[in-house]
Order: sequence, then structure tokens, then C-alpha cells
Amino acid sequence: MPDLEREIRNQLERVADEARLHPEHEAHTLRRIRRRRKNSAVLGSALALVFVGGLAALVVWQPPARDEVPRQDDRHPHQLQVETQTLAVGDQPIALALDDSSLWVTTGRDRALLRITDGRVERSFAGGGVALDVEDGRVWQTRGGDGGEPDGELTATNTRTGEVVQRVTFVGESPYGVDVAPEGVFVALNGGDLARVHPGGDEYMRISLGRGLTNVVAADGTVWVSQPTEGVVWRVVVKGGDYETRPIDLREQLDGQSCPQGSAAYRDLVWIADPCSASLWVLNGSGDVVERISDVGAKPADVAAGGRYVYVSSFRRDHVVTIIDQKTRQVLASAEAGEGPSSIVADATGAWVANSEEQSLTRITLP
Amino acid sequence: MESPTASDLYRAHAPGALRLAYLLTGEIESAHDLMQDAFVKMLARPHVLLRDEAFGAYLRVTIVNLSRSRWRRMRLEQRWARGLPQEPPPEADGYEQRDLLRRALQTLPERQRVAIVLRYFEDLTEQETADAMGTSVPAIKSLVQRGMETLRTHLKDERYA
Repeated sequence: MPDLEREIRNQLERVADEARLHPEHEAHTLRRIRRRRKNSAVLGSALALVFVGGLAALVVWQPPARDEVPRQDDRHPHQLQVETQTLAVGDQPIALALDDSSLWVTTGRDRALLRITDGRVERSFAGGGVALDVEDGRVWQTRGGDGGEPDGELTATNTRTGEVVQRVTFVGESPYGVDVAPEGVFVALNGGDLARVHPGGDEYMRISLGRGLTNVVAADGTVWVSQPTEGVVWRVVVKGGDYETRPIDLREQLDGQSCPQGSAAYRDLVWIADPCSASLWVLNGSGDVVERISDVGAKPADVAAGGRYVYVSSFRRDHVVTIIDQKTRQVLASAEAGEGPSSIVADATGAWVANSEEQSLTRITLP
Repeated sequence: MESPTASDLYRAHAPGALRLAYLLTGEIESAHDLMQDAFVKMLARPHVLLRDEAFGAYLRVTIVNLSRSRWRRMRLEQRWARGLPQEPPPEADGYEQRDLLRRALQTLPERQRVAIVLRYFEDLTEQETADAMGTSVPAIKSLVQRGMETLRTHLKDERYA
């Protein structure tokens, strides 16, 4: 045994020698520490105010759900002023969707569907979906098929009553991305099919693309489906009951790692976050690559577009949201979100991002 | 004496922290994330004064605890980033025995792996390892013994047959 111990010690040293520090990680780490300290200071002040105020006036005062600390990254300091606020939601947010009046959030631990209006959680329904979309008074969620629940399902919840008004079961399958379009509700099944569900009925058609499908976005009769395991984005043109498919191999474009994830279609362009190449792909409606934008964080996970801007969340390490001018495609600013920013949605004045490791959302507001 | 700054502590402890995190996770990307999370957790609280020599021990425990909660976080991540390809192993460079050990370490149950890394890489005593893992010395002895048996089987070197 002593020989084995000595050998194990030596080999552990050699394995550990493979780990090399990257110089930029120090700056990332220190920036996160500064932001956490600011947040802690604000929370402490709020609690102190509550305590003192309660003693003095015997008035019950609720601490604000939001902090008001401006948190802007210093990589693009002068191009765009960004204001950020944090909203605690009490559980790990997974996916987001916006309708005209509310923000919808699914959560991981309590498996809830929250409706947030004017910065406050108004109602909670049964949820826990991994992806969602909201359209015409219905919230569509995908869930299950991941071990705990062997069968996956797509459900539609009435936004007013909370009643589940439609349910489609995918036996033994794992549905992920969902997007609602005039042509139907499109669901990416991880097993390899794109499902097109008719709202109001159980019937649906399937389009076989390949294993490992994740995100889906539909616009103007074209559906874009991410297949990160192959480094491919599928362009699917739907015409009535017919369809045409075309794989767009992003690995060929850069001769390296690519794993397209979150996507957004906006004004004739499709934007695709790619954590493996740390970049944002921009495709035109035909599926040709227009540009690859770097400097969008270490692990871009999701992208959303609204107003003049495109927003990219970076899931790991730097925890930032990068803001891009959608016309010039220039990076204008990067705002620090909470821990684990993942799903992101945008409106005309800013964006919401789910901090999936911090039980909170970050609201980013632009001028 | 002036307290070290966050930057001072990072520069002093990051290399060792990264090596420990790498052995615990087996993935360089995850090791960087784990190390950064540990520093943020340790240093984010304002007005916390830590002596430099005590910081290393606290950081080690934080890394161990974070590595053990990493699996829960990975499950959450996989719900979001389902289908991401696995990180490729480092290029083979002739150190076959080292690659064997890296793979063998990852086959160990999590507590056995942590115990072996703390004992034989961090050179902690059994008592120190037990303290870092929040368990007893007999439990550490058992974990290390079982882990070493598994490693011996995996390595299959005639010197230990």
C-alpha cells in the first residue's frame, strides 16, 4: 500500500499541474465580489431601516423587493448607460416569457409558474416547465421526460384562471424549447423531432431532425431549432402541411467547437447564443451567417431582442448580460446580472434575465 | 499589520485552489467556476477580516463543500443547457498513467474522491480531513481505504498486483 500511496500522490500532482489559471479570471472574480458586497450593504441598510423604523413608529414596513444598485460592467463604460434592478422571486427561476402586461416565470424547486406584474409576484400556478411561451391568453410550458417524470408534456395554462386548458403528452420523450407561432405551437423534442401542435387540439405532426434538439424559435413561417450536440441550427420552412429542412453547421464556419443554444428571431435576422464558441451568431432569413459577434461573455446561453437592442445572457463565470445594437450589431454595454443568468426576454425598454442560481431576476433598463 | 486585500488573497491562493478544484471535478472549466465561486463566497461579505494563513483552510473547506453541491447545480444546469456536449478530455501527451488516474478518480463515489484528494494531495491528516468533510476519523479511514482499493483495481499496475 505505501507504494500505491506514493504513486497516487505523484499522479495527483501531475494531474493537478494541468490546471492553469487564466489572467482574466482574477478581474471577473473581483468584480463579482464587489457586486456581492454592494448588494449585502444595501440589504443590511434596508434591514436596519426596518428595525429602526419599526421601533420608532411601530409601523410595519416591508423592505423593497428590489435593490437599486446600478451595476454596470466596466468593459464598455461610456457607450450606453444601463440601470439594473434585482427582483427576488424566492425560488430558482428557470424560464421566462412576456405578454403585454406581465412577466411569466417558471421555477425549479417549487415547480411553480409565477405571474409578475409591476415588479411584484401576483399569482402562482402549477408550473416547473423548462421552457415557456405566452400567446393569446395561454402560457405554454414544456416539462418532464428527464428521469423524475419519464413522459414529457406540453401544457397550456389560461393566464386568467390558471386552469390547464390543453395537455399533450410525449410518451418517453423529453420536450424542451417551445415557441408559439401562427402556424402552430412548435416544440423541440430532445429525442430528435420537432413537434408542431395545433392549439386547441391534440393532433400534431413531427419533423425528424436529429437527436439533442433544445431551443426553438419561429418567425415568418420559418422555424429555427438548435441542436447543440452537433453544432447545428436547423432551418425549417413550414408551408401548410409540408415543410423543408436545412441544417446550418456552425462548426464548419469556425473550424472548432460550437453548440448553439438560445435563439431569437427579430427583424429578418436570427440571433443564436453559442456557449462553446463564446459568441453570438447572426443569420439572415435564408440561414446564411451574416456575422459572429464575440465579446458576449464567457458562456452565452440565451438571447432576446426588443426595441433597438439585442441582449445576451452569459450563464457561467462572468454572469453578465451583453447589450448589442441590433442595427449596427455593435456591442454597446454589458451589465452584471445575478448568479447564473440564463433565460432572457426583452421588451421595448429593456430585458429581464433569470438568475437561476440566485433565486432572483435582474431587470435591465435602457434609456 | 494591514489586512490583505481581496486581490492579494486571490493571487496567493488561486493557484492551489484551482488545482484542488480540478482534482475534485475532473474538468478544467468546472474547476475554474468552482474556484471563482469559492472566492466570491468567502470574500463577498463586507467587513470580514481574515488572516492570510487562516484563509487557505477556509477556502479549502469552501471548495470541498461547493464541489459536493456541484452535482445539484449541474442537474439544474442540465435542465437549461440540455444537450451540451461534454467537455473533451485534455489531449493525450504520453502520461498514460496520469490519464488513467484522472479517469479512475472520476469513477469514485464523491465522498471517496474528496477524502483521497484531501489526504494525498492536500496532505491533510485524517483528523483534518474529517474536519474539512464534517465527518469522523473512522469514516475517513473507511472512505480512503475503499477509494484506494478501487483506484488500485483501476490502475491495474503489476507493481500493486
